[in-house]
Formats: sequence, structure tokens, C-alpha cells
Amino acid sequence: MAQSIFFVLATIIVLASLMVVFSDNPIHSVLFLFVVLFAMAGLYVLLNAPFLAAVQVLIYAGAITVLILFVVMLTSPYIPSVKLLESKQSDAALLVVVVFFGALSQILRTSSWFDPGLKTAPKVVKTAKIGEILFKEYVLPFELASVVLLAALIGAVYMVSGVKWR
Amino acid sequence: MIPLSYYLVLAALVFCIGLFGALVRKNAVLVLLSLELMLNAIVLNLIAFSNFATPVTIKGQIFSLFVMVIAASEIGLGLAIVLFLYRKRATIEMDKFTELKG
Repeated sequence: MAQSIFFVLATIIVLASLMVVFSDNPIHSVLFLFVVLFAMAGLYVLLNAPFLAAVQVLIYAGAITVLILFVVMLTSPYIPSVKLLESKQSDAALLVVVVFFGALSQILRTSSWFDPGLKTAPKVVKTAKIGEILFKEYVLPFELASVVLLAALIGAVYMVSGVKWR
Repeated sequence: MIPLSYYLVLAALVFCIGLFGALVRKNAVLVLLSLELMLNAIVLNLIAFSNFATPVTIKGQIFSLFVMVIAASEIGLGLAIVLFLYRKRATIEMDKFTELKG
């Protein structure tokens, strides 16, 4: 059962992420990214991480995709004649990616992670436990992350507003 | 039960597709989209390892929360830069920005 769900989700993810990269229309790319993020959330549920699945749907699929969609609409008019593989680097990029994937799968094959005896913990992680760990052990990184987020927010607003400093 | 390696292979595939997109696409927004794909592959890896290697302390899940925070600020700043460039130059094609060419 879980296996078939995994394969359905994996097929959706791979096909949709191919469409993200290869689609000519940027709007379609963003919508396919939405599909990828949603299916990823399904995988997180399979991996006993329901809280992260919810975060993924709310923040990634909900907020970030809409943000990107707005920027696409503001910046890039749809030009059907611009084909992506006209880029001069596409051959070199393909080579790099194939070599990289080969290296990755080699590492995977020689590692001990392919051992099918590795069993997962059959316990769903409770959200309360995540909060507990986050606010006990990881308080400092948590606060730092909020500062980073605030700095990025102020930087983004400043850059887009067009106000000159002095 | 699904073995760990399935997740790792899937994440590697998605990461490579995102890498290809980031290298090939000319539209700056689509490069950012490909970066998001790569980051999501990484988060999938982290959660998979969290489930299989540290199921009690769930280090991977905590770490992937931080990755999500950084990804959100990265995409916000990146889109702001894209809008800024569009206002200055009326284009967001990556190979038009060559001022720093040596």
C-alpha cells in the first residue's frame, strides 16, 4: 500500500519537475512547481513527518508559489519563440548533470544506505515534540533564523521600494 | 515498508533536474524556481534520514525546518533582486547582465 503510494508520488514529482525545467511558459513552470511541492508533502506524510508536510503546503505551496507567480506576471511576458535549449550552455550543463548524477548514484551504491535491513521507526512524530526540541535545544538557532528572516524582509522591501538611502 | 534508498534516489533525481534547470534557463525567475527544486530535494533527504537514522531525536526534521526558513528568505531576496533588475534594465535574461565580465 505505502509502496504504491510512494511510486505514484515519485512519478508525479519527477514528471512535474521535468516540466518545471522544460516548459516554455514560465507560468506553467510555476504551476508545475506547485504540483511538485504538494506531492513532496505527501512523501513527508509517508516519512512520519506530518507537521513538516503541513508547513510545506502552507509556506511553500501556499505562499512562495504565489509570490513567484506574482513576480513572473510582473516581469516576463510570455514569448513563445524563446526556446530554452537555445542556450549555449545546454550541452555542457547536460554533461555536468549526468556526471553529477553518476557520482551521486555511485556514492549511494557503495554506501550502507542501500541496506534493505534499515527499518524505519513506525512512530509518527508528534508536533509537540518538535516544538519541545526546537525551544529547548535549538533556541539560539531559532532566534537567529528569525533575525535572518527579518533582515531578508527588510532588504527585499528596501530593494523593491526604490527609496535612496540619503 | 519503503527502503531509505528509494527516497535518496528520488531526491538525487529531483536535485539533478533542478541543477540542469539552474544551469540552462535564461529567465532569472526560472533559475530561482530550479533552486527551489534543489532545496526541496535536500529537505526530502533530510527528512528521510531523520526517519531512518535519528527517529527519536528527529534532528533531520528540525534541520529541515531551518532549511525552509533560509529558503523562504532566499526566494524573497532573490525575487526582490529580480524586480530591481527588471526596473533598471527592462529584462531578466541572465546573459544580459554582463557588467562583471572580466
